[in-house]
Amino acid sequence: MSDDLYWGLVDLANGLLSGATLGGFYAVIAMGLSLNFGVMRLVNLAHGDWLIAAAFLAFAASRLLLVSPFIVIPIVVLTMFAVGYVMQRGLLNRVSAEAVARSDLNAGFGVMAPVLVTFGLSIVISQTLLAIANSDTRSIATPLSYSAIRLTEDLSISTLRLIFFFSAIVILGGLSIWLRTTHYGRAMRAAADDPETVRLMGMKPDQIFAIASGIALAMAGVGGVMIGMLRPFQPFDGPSFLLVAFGVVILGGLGSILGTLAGGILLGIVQVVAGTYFGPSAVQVAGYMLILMVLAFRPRGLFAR
Amino acid sequence: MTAITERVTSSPAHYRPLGLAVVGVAMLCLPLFANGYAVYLAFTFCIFAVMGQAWNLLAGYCGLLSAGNQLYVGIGGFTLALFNYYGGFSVWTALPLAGLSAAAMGALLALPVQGRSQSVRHLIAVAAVVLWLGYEVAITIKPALDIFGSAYTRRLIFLLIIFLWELPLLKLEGPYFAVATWLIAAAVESVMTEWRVSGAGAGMRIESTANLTHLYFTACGLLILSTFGLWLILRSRFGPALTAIRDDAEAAAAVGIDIQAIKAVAFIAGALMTGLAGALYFMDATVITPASAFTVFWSAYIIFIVVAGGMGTLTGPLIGAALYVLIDRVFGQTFGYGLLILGMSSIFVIIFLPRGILGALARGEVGVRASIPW
Repeated sequence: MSDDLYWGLVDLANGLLSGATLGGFYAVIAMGLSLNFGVMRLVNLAHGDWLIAAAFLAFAASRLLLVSPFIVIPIVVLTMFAVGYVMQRGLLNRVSAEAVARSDLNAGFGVMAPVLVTFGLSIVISQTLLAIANSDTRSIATPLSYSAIRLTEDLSISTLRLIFFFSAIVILGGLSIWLRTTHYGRAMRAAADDPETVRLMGMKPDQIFAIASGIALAMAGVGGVMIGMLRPFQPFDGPSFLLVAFGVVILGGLGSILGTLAGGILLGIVQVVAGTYFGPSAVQVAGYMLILMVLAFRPRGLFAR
Repeated sequence: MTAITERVTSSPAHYRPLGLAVVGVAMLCLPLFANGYAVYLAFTFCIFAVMGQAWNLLAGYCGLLSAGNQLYVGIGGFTLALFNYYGGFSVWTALPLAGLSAAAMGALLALPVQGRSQSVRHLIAVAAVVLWLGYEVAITIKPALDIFGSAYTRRLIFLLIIFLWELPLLKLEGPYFAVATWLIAAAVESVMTEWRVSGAGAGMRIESTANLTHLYFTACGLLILSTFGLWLILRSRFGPALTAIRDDAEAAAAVGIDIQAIKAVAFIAGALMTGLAGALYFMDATVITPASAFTVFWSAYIIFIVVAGGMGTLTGPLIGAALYVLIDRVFGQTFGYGLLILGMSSIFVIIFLPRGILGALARGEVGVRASIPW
């Protein structure tokens, strides 16, 4: 085999491998947003800031308890679940599509109300983080963040990303099975389709929405820990992760779990491959153009329901 | 029907144009008796009110919820900076060019939607590709022709332009449209961050010869012009068409309103207004970076201004902009935490004043907003 061909293949394999594993991370980041939209029809602009808040929570917990960030994941996930539940019950249920439909406000407002409330939340979260933790960058890197598994002499893969990839499959797969087979999962899908009928069947859509929101933020908790392990973060990083999450959700089709995973992997591969061939500055642009192109040809995403 | 007519004739909305005119005259006289800080606040108010009017035209009337109006702020600002720095243009000469290039960007995004001329559109794209290849050849022969300074950025810019030309942006709906506009702004931002000619990530300085009073009069004139222009449009036969699209797009299409054409015109007009306002803002700020010009916070402020003031109304963005200046500039600079207060008031407004401030003031005229445009 000629040298050029060999290195070309190594580059390609590298791009595919690290892109696909990056995609797992993207899928976890985006899942909460997808769930928010899929169940509550809620465009949650605060999602990126919740991710960063979770990263800060993991940072604080692992510093206080003097343990590895992996140990504090359950704490972060449970706290975020509680926050999501309370936020939905106390605030977001008041502006849900159903609540707006019951009042005499016009339909355009029904779209705008949650957007503006979550925009307000987004600012409140990032400003609160800024007030507590100032604008220094933080990191919860573990020794695993810098290790890699060698596959061949010239091909290796980041251990951490590989772990993230398999966790993504387990988490998203678990969620998918839970939504299909359990009572609450079915109730959630029913509430997504028709909250009014769910109410007639004797269940409380508000309660179901609160649990869905809790799960969404619990996922954001996992995503936040992942962000913290992969790179340094600071209070204002939320919107850039929100944009990535939006991109993944749109690639996969809003509200589709397997679509989210596939969308994440596709975005990861395109970004890393573009970075390999056109330099690091092409990473972002290639990702944006991929998403726009999918929108142009399949306006409701690749795996729309 | 009679009920609606009754409400219209008896509603205070009837007197609003007169009230607006009084406010406009008062604002023009402001520098005569106010100090510099008050004029600066009024200048900021005008800028954000114009941006609010532009966004309201799209969202309030055409149902296009854009999250990417920072694109035109950035394009306007950078056009101004580039002509000012490389062309030696004064900021006042560069200002109309900034508006034009923002409008051109809007046209690039909005025109592809016209269904009748698909083949013409593709022909133009092919012609653009041919011209681009010709330019590439010309550069290899005579490198002095390259005004982009970097082969990578040049190719990226051309590719992006042709790509955006082919993208049917206005066909997207709801959240897809919002995210697409944001993505386009983010894509242009990352190009600008790479481009050495525009100062890469560090941005550019603008040699501004403008003093605050002149800036204020220009911004105020722009606001009066755009508000009056919108008022005229809403009174013309496009007004009922716009209102019809706002209230029920399908029914509007069924009675023969060319929705796509009206949306495209509104989109380009909005881009022009936002670009001019953005350029004015940077004439005062004198420093522009890709991060400050293309930040999604522009959209966030604009959306706050329109929704808090009253969406789909002519005076709503004015009230919202006044509230924004009050919270962010006055409270923020006096007590700190301006953004925190802005975030909280955004939640507060939606929960307690869901029709916006204007809607709350006009409580009791329930049917009015559905029947008249201001």
